[in-house]
Amino acid sequence: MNTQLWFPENKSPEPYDKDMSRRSFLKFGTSSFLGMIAMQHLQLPALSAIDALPSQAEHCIVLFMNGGPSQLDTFDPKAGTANGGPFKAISTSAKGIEFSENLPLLAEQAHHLSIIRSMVSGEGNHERARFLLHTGYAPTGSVSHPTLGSIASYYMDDEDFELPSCVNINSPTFTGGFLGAAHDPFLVSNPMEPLEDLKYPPQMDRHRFRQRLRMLKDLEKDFLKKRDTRSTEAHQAIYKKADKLINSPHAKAFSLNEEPITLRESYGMNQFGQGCLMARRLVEAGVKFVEVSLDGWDTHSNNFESVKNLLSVVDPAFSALVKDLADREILDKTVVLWLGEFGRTPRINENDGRDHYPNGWSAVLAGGGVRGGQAVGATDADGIEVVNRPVSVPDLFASLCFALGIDYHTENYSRMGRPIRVVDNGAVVKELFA
Amino acid sequence: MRIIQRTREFRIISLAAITLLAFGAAVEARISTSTKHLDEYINTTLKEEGIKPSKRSKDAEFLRRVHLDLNGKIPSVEEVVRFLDDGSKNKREKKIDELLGSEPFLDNWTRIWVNWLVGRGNSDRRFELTNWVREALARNLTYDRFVAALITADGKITENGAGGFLLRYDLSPIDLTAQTSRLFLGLPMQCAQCHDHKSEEWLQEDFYSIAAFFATTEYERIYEKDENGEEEEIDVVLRNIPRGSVYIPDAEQETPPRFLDGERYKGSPMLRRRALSEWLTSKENPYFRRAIVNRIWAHFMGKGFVEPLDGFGEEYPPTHPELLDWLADDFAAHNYDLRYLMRTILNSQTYQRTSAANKHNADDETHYSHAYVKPLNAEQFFYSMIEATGFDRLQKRRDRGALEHMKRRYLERFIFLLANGEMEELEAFNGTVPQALMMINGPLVNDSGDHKARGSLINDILKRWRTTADRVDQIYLRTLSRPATASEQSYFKRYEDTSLYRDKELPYEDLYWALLNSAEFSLNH
Repeated sequence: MNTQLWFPENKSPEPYDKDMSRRSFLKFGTSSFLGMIAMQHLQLPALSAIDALPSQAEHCIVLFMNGGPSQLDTFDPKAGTANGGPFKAISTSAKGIEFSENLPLLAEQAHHLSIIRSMVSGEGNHERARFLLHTGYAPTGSVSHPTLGSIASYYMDDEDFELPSCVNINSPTFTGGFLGAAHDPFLVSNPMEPLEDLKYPPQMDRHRFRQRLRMLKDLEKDFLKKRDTRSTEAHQAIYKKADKLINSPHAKAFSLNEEPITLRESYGMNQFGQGCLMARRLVEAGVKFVEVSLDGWDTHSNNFESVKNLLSVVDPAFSALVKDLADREILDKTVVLWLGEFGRTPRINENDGRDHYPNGWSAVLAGGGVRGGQAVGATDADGIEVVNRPVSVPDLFASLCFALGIDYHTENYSRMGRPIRVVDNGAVVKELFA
Repeated sequence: MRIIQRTREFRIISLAAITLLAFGAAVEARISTSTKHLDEYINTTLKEEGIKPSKRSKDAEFLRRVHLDLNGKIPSVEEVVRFLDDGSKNKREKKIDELLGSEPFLDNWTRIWVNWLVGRGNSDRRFELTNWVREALARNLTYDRFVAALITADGKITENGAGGFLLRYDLSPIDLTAQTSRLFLGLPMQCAQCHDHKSEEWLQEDFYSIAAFFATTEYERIYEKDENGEEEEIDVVLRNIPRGSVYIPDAEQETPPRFLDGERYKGSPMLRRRALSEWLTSKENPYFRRAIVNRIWAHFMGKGFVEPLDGFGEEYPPTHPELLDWLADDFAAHNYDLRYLMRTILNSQTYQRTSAANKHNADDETHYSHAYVKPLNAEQFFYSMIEATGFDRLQKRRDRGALEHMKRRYLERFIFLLANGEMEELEAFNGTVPQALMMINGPLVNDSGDHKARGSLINDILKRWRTTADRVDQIYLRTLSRPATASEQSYFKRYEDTSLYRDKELPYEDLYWALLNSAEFSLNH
């Protein structure tokens, strides 16, 4: 029998490096924070110039690495240092930018990618960080913030389009929150299996279904007359929307059989790879937002073997997606984001693992007007501190909104009637678009 | 060793308590003075406002509502028929007491409490917490002791499941303070975590002063090697420790424990949580009882005196302040007995009005002139579907394992279709495209509604009942927990007569589908 102790002085049961976080926290918490405020004010004219640019993106694909991927073993390699680990760095199609050796295919697409190496988010707990990275807000318990896909759905939804405007592939994220259930993500729990409930059962056809709908409407009339009727029309509208989806020619975007086998294989014959392919098909059909998730990144022990395995899935899928979108000339209209809920400690722990690290990690953007072939921000030689251009989660959200043409200053009302901005305290990272 | 014994004893008591409750209930079924006071207050304000209340609900309407509120699902057909046939005068009081002492009530309110305490997602040691809550409800542990036990939990989680509450928040003083204040006090203090509250008097310092009470606790995870040599967590031990502190971000000095009324705690660090629980549940603290009365009231009435439920304070004044205080004091005077509180509300005219508005009160949203409709939440919807479709009955005929698996998968989908991972109690199952797809094409609805499938619900009804009127009544009883009205009967006749189906039984399938999909089914009214 062995025991593990945890003392309350540690904020998290899976603590990230305390000294490092305290140091960097002090840095951003005081001087840099003021610096950032000052910077924002100085940049105001430049920002409004950017705000005036026409937006390019009409779609967004997020590749979410559940558990928090290691930045040092992916997009911010520190090969040869004590923190760097066993992986080498390789050059890429973007001049001066190196990736981990586990990303050879993606390295060929680097000219499309913009790497943010200076994400600073401050939330080191999985659940809280996942919420933050999906909504742009730290969880408070009382306000049900909408997830990014629901925000996109709310602002970009086309009433006449038959498919859901926001789709989650592999695992559910969060809901439409106070923007309403109509904007909840539509879940495809396994892209390699046929979608449940998309086909009528035997004995059913469109004609009979419509007859049923009419009966439903007739029969509930009396009940609804004397009760709050606001929901009825919404109820009928949802059924009509479902009916449209069942009968839509676009619904075949959910079935991957139509793709040539060589292309399917280039994405990787696994749930994540095929999910990325489905994301491309959905976007092509007109879906606004797709999130594809990949689990397994919480590598507290045996980090390097795990990361190597995970990247053997990510590298073909992510690179095939970017290449495919570019080949079809829809990359400009589609902003792609790769990230997890936080990064991992630069220091390698005694179990050959890396712990949670929210104070200097990487996110990757492509397409949608984002300038490829560059790195924004940087960490120091050991990967510990952000030394250049810290980017907060609200900054990242503001940038995505900007790319998608969503005015992120707009306020919506929470269920309690509290006004809440799409993005609070964030500013567009203009380097991404310059 | 002693702890283990106590647990065993505890189980025996809980079984005895159920029997006793059910028995005691039958004897004591009458309207209490508390209920009368409640109705007088509501009726007086209605009169003052010049709002004419709606009539008393019909028996079927009442039965369905009280079933959904207490047992979390619609009643069975047999129960509906029995209740409608019962000619006794006090049958509603008897029904309320019967339900309050029933096993499904325990299942449902355990689910509700666990969701309130730790949310819908998977949480550390949810299983142990769930068992603990169920036992606490079974022996009607008073609410003040219930909360105190959650706050002060220590020892092995396998022996004291109450610790699942603290573990859910990973002992984080911050998260525990936010959850304690919003759930047990109704105060939106979580905003003060990051900044002084904008509209209320709470300061960041207040928040951290409460957080300090949670800072002197630790847990120890105990592992053992299983047969494959893998380390497996077999227990978690919670205990108080002599040191631990919280800091407001950027502060040099730790924030010492202090109660919200300003009094500093100077006792032993080992007793901090106990001191907090004593302060929290003390009769001197009116927030504690008001918050739970408001929460239970909102659950039954579809609207709290204070909304949001954690909105106590200047910003959201109660709609009926005197009644809220009176009910809260009455609840405390009756030893914080949750069943007493429930019985007080459920027996009232106010609760038992029809949800149908009359000409004069359709616009009323705050005076309780008619019962407000409540959307079914995911669990209520799911368990009602299981009841309506006869899923459990089917189970006897088919492979049990496969059907249980199917049921679990359905529930997961239902929960996802609605859920947020957050702790929104009033989250509605209010219709999304995936839900609609499941209701249109999914097997849960269509298998039971296929008249050709042997043993399906519709197959069964058509076999057992011969006249159209009987068959229609049965389908209504199954789905809407009431017989069809005359005009509904004649509507179906017309539908059947004008239908072009070659298969003459298909209209029954359509009726069944339409009713399961109707607003009347998916609302609690």
